Amino acid sequence: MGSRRISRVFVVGILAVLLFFTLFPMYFMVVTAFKTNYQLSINYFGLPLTPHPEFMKDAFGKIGLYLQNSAVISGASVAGVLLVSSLSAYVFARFTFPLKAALFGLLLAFLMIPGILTLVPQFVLVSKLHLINSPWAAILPYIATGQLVVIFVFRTFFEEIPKELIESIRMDGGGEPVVFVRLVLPLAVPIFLSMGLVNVLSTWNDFIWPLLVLSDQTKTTVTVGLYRFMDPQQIIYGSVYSGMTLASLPLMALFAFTMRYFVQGMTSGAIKA
Amino acid sequence: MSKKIDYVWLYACLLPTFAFVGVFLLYPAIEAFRMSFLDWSMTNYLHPRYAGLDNYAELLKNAEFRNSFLILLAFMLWNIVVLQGASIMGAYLINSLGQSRLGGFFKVAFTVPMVLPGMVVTMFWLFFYEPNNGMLNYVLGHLGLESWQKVWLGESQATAMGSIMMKGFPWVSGLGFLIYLAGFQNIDESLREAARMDGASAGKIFWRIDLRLILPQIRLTTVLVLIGGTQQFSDQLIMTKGGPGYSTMVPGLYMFNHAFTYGKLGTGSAIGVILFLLKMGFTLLNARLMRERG
Repeated sequence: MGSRRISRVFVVGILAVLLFFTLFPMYFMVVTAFKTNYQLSINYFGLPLTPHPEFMKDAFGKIGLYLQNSAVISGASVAGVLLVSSLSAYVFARFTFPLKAALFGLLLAFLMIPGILTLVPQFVLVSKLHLINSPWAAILPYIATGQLVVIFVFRTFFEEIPKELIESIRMDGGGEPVVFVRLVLPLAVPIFLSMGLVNVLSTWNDFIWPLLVLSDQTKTTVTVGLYRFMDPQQIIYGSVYSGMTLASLPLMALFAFTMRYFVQGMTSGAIKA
Repeated sequence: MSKKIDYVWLYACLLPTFAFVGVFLLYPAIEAFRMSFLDWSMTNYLHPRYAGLDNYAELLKNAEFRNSFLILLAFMLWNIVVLQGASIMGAYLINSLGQSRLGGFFKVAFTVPMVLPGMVVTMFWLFFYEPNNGMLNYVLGHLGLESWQKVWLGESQATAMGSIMMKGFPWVSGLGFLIYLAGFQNIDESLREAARMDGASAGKIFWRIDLRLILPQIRLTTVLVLIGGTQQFSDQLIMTKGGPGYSTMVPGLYMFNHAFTYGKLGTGSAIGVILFLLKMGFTLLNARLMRERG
């Protein structure tokens, strides 16, 4: 047993080193957010001895609006994805109807068609619809692509709901909408949460599309805003790192209490290519 | 379900999904093919001209474009071997701690950085490589290694590609990590116990049992990298713009530049189609391999 204990200490040691490097950027981000450029140059890694909170205020003035834009876009996209996918996934899970296989096959095909094929035409389309610099330019395409994986995951979930439960509600005279609202939706809360969180993260993180369609300074998302906000010519590092910290906080707060659902969502959505 | 179903209601429920698919996916996909045969740029935006296969011919003649696939291949191989290797190792080590509190702690701690916005992470690494005040040159300077200091992202192909590849070190945190951890946890502990009874070393158990039993997960993440990796280019766009010269140019960024910087919509679409065909190739290859095994 002695060697098992030694190897355990060894494993924990390696993991601790890996974890240090994994979390280090977060530590550095937060401490640098409170340092002046001079403080950074004389005390590169340490905690700031006299913290300067004014950079946070400055950064919030710059990216507060971007955060708001991102919240609107991610929020509306996720709501749209969950609504649209739950309706169609339920229909695919519970009913047979003409063209069922063909329609589902179409969705399957688009799961495999890469976004890069449609990037240029989608941009032309959104321009022709005069949606450039409108939040809809991001929301509508996000719903279109985001729903695909979610429909797959939801369909499997809905199919696993025991028929007896559904029949018992129908016996009480409940129609299909009653079954959906009273039985299916409450059961599906965890999976809604999982899929919602995965979609929040992917829309929040998207860079190329908002860079193209939300080019206006006041309309863009926090991902693009940060990129533009960082002016390499005259950098005030405290301000840049405050901006990065502020940009991370909403997701951190959201995921702090929902990590379990997020992890489930990530692994069940892994079929997405 | 003996009652007659009202199909109209069913199709009405499917309508939103297929309206979105039709307008924002199917139509642009068809347009991509049509546009790839057009001589269409910002200078003749209103009057695109049919150009047959000209866009494709020009692209295939272009050495920089052809070269971008080799660069992409290098990035993808790196991702498959090193990044997957790192997440397999991290997951394996955590799993070996068993159901202990420490194991649970490490699992959560490695998952937390996954929710950092991608741009925040990229900006940290940009700062890490920044030539004047960046962390790497700072540390080298303090170790007395001034001669090692470099303009990491701009000096040469080796430093620029190396810098992009090292981004995200130690690469444990991520989707692959979660997939592998689930895989290791599903392995029946009695298999390892039996091997241990037979006197097998920890290394041998890892190679013979753990690694073999997570082959499905390795295949899944490899396919994800192969299929998703063909269209990644934000790191290159943000960190090097494909430079210095064309030394970190990947096909996706080449497309982005042609379509949106030079306004060549026809050429951009043709690159999109080529990448689509490449991805289909990988997907079909994968399906075929699955069938042969199955």
